[in-house]
Amino acid sequence: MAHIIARDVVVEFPIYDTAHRSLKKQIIHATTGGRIARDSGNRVAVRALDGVSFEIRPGDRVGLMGHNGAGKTTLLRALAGIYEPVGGTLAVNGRVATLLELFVGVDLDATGYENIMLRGLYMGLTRDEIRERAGDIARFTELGDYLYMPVRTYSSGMQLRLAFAVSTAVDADIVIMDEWLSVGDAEFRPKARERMEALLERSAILVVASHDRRLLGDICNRIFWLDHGQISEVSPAAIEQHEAGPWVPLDASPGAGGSAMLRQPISRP
Amino acid sequence: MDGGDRLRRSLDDLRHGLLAVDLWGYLGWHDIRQRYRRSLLGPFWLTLSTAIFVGAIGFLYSKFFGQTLVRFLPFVAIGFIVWVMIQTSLNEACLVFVEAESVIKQIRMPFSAHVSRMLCRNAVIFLHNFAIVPAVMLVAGVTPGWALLVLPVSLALLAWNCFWAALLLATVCTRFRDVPPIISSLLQLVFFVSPVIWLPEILGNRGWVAAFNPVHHFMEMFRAPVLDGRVPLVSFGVALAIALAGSALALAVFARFRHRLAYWL
Repeated sequence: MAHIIARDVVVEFPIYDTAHRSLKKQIIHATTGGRIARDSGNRVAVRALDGVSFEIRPGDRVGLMGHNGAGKTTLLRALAGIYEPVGGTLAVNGRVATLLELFVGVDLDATGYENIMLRGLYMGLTRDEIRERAGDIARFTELGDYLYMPVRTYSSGMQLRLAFAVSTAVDADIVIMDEWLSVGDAEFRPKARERMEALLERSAILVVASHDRRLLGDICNRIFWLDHGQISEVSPAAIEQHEAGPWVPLDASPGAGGSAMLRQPISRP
Repeated sequence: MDGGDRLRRSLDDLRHGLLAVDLWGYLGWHDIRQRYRRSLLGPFWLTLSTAIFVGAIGFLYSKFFGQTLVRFLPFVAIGFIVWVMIQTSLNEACLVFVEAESVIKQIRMPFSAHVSRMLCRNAVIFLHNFAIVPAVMLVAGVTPGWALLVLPVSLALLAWNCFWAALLLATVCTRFRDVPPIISSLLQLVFFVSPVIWLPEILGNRGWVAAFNPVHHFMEMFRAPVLDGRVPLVSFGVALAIALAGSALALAVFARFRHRLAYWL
């Protein structure tokens, strides 16, 4: 059963300067008792997620909102298993499809079909699974014989169609997206939307980060608001009515959205 | 997260990274294809350049060492092919995670799969290079014997040793970016002190320089069956011991720092 439980999740990024990157300097630093490189010994860390707790159950469509640098992408990457939290616990049960950056793994010098294989492998499909789906993917892209040509020769719209088609060919319990994917011209867009919806129908949980209030209001049944690495849940209706946050967190009215464990105020020195 | 948890996750990573033959096999092969896509000979360019190098060195150095070309040429050929595998793997290992940054930060994949991919690529090159060995044997008039059947064992032991060393280097070099050039110069030094293009016999009473050199034994695993029709039990033993000890070391480091790798990129 797909399920995500986060308790007091902390993600911190160490900021390294060149001295921290150098083994030689670190050794000198250690052997001289820190006298030579004392200043660089104070390592700075940026806390991107600061004690985040929530629970996501099957059927939840979660929208992540927040200003730039609020921690949206970091949270998505933590959910995807890319960043392991330095504090707290994060349990993600279910097969995860990560749609953060569609072009990861795409090789411009390889042909369309080779890229279907490459991108599919990166998405965690086996070669047999990809071969099975290649026909469907090819049909969806409408690229025809172009698929035998290097992707470098495609227009950017064609490249995007290809990457989109492979990325949405996966089966996942949990779909993690940075911005809603929409591709193509007026004619192609409804088709793309249909494919996205089909993917979401196959999956139990969606977590999507976006700045588009209307879109999140449409798709999501839960909205998380991130601010300086802290999270609070707001009602989907509220975000469409008001232009700017913050809104009254949902747990002010107990029971709403079933998120009693949300927003435990965390005060750190 | 405690140590046991980290070890368990690292072992998971290794298991998935090694078993995902689909993934690293295709990617490793794809790397080769991309590199030689526009050339007529494909990866056999490498075979050709190795053959030229081996021919030139064999011709010239056999005189230095007062050896017949027939004896010296196959010796250099095999030693050099094994050495190229070791050197290229370890040099490339330093940048495995750094170069995969865009993938590592966007998609969860076992870290070890990136190492497997790099090794797969180099193993393919190794096998292409190995194509010159029968030719050299023919020239040298060496008759093939049953001992050749142990060559897969030799390759497995070589690949295992390259794997742990690569995993270790990839992890360390992601944190400390000044290590790759150090490794590269060290490898150059190792090339000169190892009997790749010179015979261990010429060391005389300093034979221990070769006997205690792991690289000598890695090459001997291939040289003995091909050149002397002998199963190199001592070298197998040395390679196995190094593989076990090295794997323990690499696993300890990998388990300790695996969860930090994405942050270091």
